[in-house]
Amino acid sequence: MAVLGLAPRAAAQMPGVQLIVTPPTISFPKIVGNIPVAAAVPLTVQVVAPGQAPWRLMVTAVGPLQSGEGAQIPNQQVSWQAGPSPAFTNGTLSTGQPQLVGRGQGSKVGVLQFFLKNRWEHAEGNYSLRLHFTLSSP
Amino acid sequence: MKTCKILIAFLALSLLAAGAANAATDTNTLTINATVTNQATLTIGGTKTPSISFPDSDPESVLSIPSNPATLAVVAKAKTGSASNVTLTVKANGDLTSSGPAETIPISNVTWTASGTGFSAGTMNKTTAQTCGSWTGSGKYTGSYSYFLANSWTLPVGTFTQTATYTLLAP
Repeated sequence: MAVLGLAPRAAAQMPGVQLIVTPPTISFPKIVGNIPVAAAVPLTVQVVAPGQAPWRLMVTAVGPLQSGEGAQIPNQQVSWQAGPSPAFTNGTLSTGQPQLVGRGQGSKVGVLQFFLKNRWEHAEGNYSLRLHFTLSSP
Repeated sequence: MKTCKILIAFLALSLLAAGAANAATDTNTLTINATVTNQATLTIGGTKTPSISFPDSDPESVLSIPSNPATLAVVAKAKTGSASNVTLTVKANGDLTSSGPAETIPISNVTWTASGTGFSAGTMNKTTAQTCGSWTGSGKYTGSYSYFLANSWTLPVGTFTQTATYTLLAP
């Protein structure tokens, strides 16, 4: 859903940008040993921008990976590989710090594959994390 | 002068409003799930089946015979609850026995010292598992053991052997 400016009249005249992220939830397979694990399915990011409108896509982690028992896995252990380049870029999560996912002009479709570093220090548990993707066009 | 300031402020607000009117944003939320299961892996001397030997020594000069190799490196890796206890135990599978004439040396003649946080020294026991390491929570724990055989003139002659089983438990 696009949000267009502040003035209703201007919003009605200006084409917007739209972000579609699918699926809404991704899961890492059960983590064994110390081999990095990839999410079961890649994330598809669709940017809809009119004409050659410039856009920038950022992602912000809301807290660390947290288990129901209170254990945490730092966000820095979650990274992604993105394509196609150069519109979409690889990156690593950082709590509270928006990270660049991509920038370009016009409509684009990108694919992000998320990875979780596997550490023996990780406590047993079921972890969850929310990411906010923000697409903006100046 | 006052009028001028008001005009400038009005222009600034107009520009900000124009910029905001042209800007467009959209947001999406993604949920990431991960499951970490409990597991444990142990290597001693860099392998799953290490071995040590004690050379024949004069009891007058060597009361405690060091093993060959002198130490075995231990790596205990465990994933468990953050407050759960990880324990490493060892239990001998019998006394030292000779392959020729049936002779035995009590396994309690074999002792070990330990280095590394959480690793502990002890004496081999064939009936009760002995704790030789203890930690809390997940982690990779490294240390080493050094083994010794109590020497005396009463030891029977022969070539003796026995196995011991180490168990790493991460509940």
